Amino acid sequence: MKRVIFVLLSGALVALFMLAMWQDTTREWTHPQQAFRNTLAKEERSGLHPGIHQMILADLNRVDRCTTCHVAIDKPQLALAEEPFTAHPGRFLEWHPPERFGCTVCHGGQGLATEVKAAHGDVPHWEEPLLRGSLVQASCYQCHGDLAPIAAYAPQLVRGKALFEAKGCYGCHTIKAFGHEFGGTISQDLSDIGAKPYELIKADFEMLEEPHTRIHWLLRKLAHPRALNPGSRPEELPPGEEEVFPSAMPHFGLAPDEAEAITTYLLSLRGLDLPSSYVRPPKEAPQPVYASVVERGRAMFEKFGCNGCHGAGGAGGRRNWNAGLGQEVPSLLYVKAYYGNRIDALKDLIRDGRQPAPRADPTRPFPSLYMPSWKGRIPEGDLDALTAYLFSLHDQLPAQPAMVSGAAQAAASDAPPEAPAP
Amino acid sequence: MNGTGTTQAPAERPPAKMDLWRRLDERLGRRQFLLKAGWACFWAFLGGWLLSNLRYLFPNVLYEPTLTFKAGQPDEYPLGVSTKWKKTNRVWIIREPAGFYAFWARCTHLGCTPNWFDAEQRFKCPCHGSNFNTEGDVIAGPAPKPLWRCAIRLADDGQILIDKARLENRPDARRKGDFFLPYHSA
Amino acid sequence: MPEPAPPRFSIKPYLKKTKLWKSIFRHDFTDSPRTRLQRVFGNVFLHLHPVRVPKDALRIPYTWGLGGLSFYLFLVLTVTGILLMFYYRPASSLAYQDMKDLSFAVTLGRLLRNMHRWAAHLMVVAVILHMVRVFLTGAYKPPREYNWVIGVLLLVMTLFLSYTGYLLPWDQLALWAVTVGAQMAANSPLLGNEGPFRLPFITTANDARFVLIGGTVIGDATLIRFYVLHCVAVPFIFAIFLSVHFWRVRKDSFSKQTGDKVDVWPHLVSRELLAALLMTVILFVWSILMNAPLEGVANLNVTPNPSKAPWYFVGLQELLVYFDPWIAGVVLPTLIVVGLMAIPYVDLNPQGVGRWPKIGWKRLGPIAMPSPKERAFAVNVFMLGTIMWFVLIFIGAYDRGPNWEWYWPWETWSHRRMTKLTLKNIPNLWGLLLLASYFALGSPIPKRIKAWLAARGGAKAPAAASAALHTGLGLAIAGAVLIPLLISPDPAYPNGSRYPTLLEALGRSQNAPIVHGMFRVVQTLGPLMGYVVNAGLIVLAGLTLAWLGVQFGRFKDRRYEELGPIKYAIVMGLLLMMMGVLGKIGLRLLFGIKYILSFPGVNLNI
Repeated sequence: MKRVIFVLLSGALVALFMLAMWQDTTREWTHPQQAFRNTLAKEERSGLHPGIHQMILADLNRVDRCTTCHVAIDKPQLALAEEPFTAHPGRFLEWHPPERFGCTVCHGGQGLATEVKAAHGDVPHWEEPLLRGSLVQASCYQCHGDLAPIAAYAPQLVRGKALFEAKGCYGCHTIKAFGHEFGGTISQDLSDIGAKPYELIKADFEMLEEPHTRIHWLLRKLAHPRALNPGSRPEELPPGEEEVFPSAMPHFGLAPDEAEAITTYLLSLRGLDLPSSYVRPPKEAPQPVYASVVERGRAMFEKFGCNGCHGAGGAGGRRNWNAGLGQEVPSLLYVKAYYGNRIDALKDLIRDGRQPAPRADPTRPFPSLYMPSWKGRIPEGDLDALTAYLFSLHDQLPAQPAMVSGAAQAAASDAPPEAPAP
Repeated sequence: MNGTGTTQAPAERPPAKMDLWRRLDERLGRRQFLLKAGWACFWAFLGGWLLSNLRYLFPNVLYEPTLTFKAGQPDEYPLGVSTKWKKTNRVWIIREPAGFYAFWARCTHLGCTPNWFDAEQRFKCPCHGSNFNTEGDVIAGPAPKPLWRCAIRLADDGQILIDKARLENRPDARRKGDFFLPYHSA
Repeated sequence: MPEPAPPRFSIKPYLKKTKLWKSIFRHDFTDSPRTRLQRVFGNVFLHLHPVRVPKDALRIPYTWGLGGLSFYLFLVLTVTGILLMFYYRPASSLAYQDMKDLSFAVTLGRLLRNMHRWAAHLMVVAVILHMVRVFLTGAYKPPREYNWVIGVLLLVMTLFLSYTGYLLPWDQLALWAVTVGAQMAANSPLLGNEGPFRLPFITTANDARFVLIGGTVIGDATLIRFYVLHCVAVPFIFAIFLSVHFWRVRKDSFSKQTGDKVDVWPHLVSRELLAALLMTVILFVWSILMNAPLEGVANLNVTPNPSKAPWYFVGLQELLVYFDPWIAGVVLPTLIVVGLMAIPYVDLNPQGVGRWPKIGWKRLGPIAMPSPKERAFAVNVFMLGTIMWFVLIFIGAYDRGPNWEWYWPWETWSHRRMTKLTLKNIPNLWGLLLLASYFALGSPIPKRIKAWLAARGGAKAPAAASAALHTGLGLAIAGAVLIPLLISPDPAYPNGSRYPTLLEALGRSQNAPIVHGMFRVVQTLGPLMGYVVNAGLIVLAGLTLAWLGVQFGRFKDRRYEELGPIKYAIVMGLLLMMMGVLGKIGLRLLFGIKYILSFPGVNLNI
């Protein structure tokens, strides 16, 4: 009996050991290499050593083994049409020599891995998935602070950055890039949003369909800001708990391609400290010349992101739960009617902010949005122009007696509370 | 394990099956056979395991400077010995009127890095005093062989490409083929 | 075979005559009674065995080979560990990359890493089971008490080896498991910066945690420290203790000295070989099928939610939920280890050596309970403790989700779940009453006092006194928990506003099922009837406790006579402590009681 067990166990060990060796010698990367070698003539094979190929990028603190399978990426003369044997399109490798840049610093993915899924970052615990399609443009802004010269190669990135500025995102979000910090303080700092740890978005992932990646999360969040943060109504909560309002981020009604463009821009913000020999900081922008003070004010209105909350052209319409004035961020068309000649009071409001915003219903929580303080952040000259612009908005109103709108405003703040929109 | 012989035999020839088993039985005894097969597997496993562990000690990837590197445009080099690449790649590049060749900066005696003395036109090794001339030949000291030369050629972009994986030092072979780069500046 | 085989040339007889052969092999290998003995005592590795052992001791279901398997796993860990060291650099910038290299680039690297990790888990299991086996077969009894103590130390070192190894991959799993563990050192009394009775010169830069992790935050210094501990220091000490352990096994002789004896070679050695082979097969299958976990690279700024210790420490982590950190993290583990070591010195029962306990039925009042026929007290207490430890591990591993909230194993975790726990302290005076009457339960009524009572009040007086004492204590315990629930105001509510009792505060919450039930009773029956019913429940609970106490009373008096005051105090103290921990866990999970006794000023929260 013991001898039978002995034979069985040691036989099993031999078999298991051979299985392990077989698994080890037929690792995933060996197949494409073999397939590629088979397509080559004998003399073409000489330069190709079988085995794991890697690029050591000491400056970038990376090791990329992508060329183990993407054998022909820098050898156009040998490349085939199908993946992974294609050559890199364009002249990008000429501009970014692989021995200095590697692959993952632009394309994402896991450079050290030698298995397809792991290398492309489609595995748990690797938070740099491959930047597929035009999302790869996000990587340009890591080094190219000045996008103008490369605009032709990164149109989506350029568009995303422009949209971010035009939609007034800076009104609430700060971004620090290339040593320059700009933006408002109401909401999250986005300086390293492109590297946000998944651990911190786990709760949102529960509301999000697969894949649970930062990319997908940003796309969804931009397209439907409230979808992932719907808040909770009192009746869903344990008794005595205060309700939580949905995300205060305004719904900008972005088209899918716009959301993707902004996502591309946000993914470029990784908060990395790349070696200075790689970085091309942005050029100092020339001081723009404005046709009039009002024009300058309009530019400031957009530059500081006032339109993010107060609406394009200050027209209002952004939801702010439980705020006075109809649960919305106030429209600025009535600024002149309300402040009249008290222009300093308006400036003080902009300088000091108003936190928290007055509540419509004092039994419910404070509104999430409020007027932040811009002291020290809007220069005085710009502030003058801004107020001039705000006063000029009055002209866009249909003819209406000023007193009535002031009274309407007063009435609105006393208006009975209204249930939050679903 | 003990059933391999029996299951393979065709059913219509039971005597043969019996024969095999009986022969095994006679030769070894059944218990003895099991034991020997067991030990055979055991040592096969242990041997394989030890060999594979030996294989484990051979790394599949290296964190070293690559053996091939680009050394810039040929016109950047004046005549004579350039120590520009010694620090990063341990290579001397020598330009003479007819062209270029490159030395691996490693003494052929015991592997120290010799120093270049421009005034004496010699490489001198600090470890045991071997001296080499600009051709790499030993003029003094214990070194048994001339310095190794690396393969050198022009890359597609016109830069000098050095390959330290291919070495040569035989007097008849080292000045031709891949080990000498004929070059005349425009 | 009648005919001798024709002589063939063979090199073996020739070799055997050489001086070289004779100098290495001292005897020949034919199977004879003499060589069987020679093989054992002529071999440095085998001579730790006796040459002959009782036949009964070889039966596999007697020991399950657990001690030998633990040692074999230690050897496997040493071999795989040494191999892994060739590719591992203990620096925070490199360690994680080396893990990836082992997985992706090194021949057999992944297999070796898997084997090392899984063998470590198996070794912890094997060592614990070995201890349980030794306890249940009474193998720690004289003359083997000291070896049991060594064994407990080896268990502690096994755990410490696993713990130090856990950090080395430098991933999130490692970092945070070690962070939790290292924080316990900071909470140790006297020497911990955050512990009670902190010595005046102790700061965050010289306390116990500082020494353990080599700095104030986990970093490169910790990594190299744990590396040296894991690879050199602890294995070195472990090997020394292991030698003593083996030597003592041999010198203290075996439990079963009766019956026939058989030769160790081949009977024991062959079994050991088979067991080792089986373990290797298991390890191979496990390592081929499952990869050792490796999460994202360690990041001090992001704590995974939930962040769990390795499984063998998850019970301890769960315990930390219920007590002040220094109690759960330092005092209780120390008591467990010291208590385990004390077992052979306080267990004077000579029964049950060399055999597994037989389970019979025992009546406890109206209930029939399975109980060992011999050594019932020892076996029941030890198994209760062991099972409790694994229940805690199970709770920590499978019932705790994000934010360490309770999730049943079949529930999916949610990071959006809105659970607001309501936990309340019992007022300290009631807590003191509770603790005092609980520990008073341990006091026996010695013979002399009984005799005195009998002389004064007749034959029934001792029993009556015992019943009175236990009824009083039972009522006091039940009352000390439940009365403040009914009458104490909730301190979280400010004066002048609504001013509910703890009953209302906890009854409205979802995490105190029993108080919730009591509150429902008040709500449905109205305050008057409700409070009367609840008071009735208190009396009922008290009487149940009292009845248990009376049962316990007879038993503990006997124990007291057997053990004498000092041993009795140790046994009863440890027992009450263990049951008290269980009780406190029950109070937390069922009643929503945070602490029984809370003096935050001196870090005393029980």
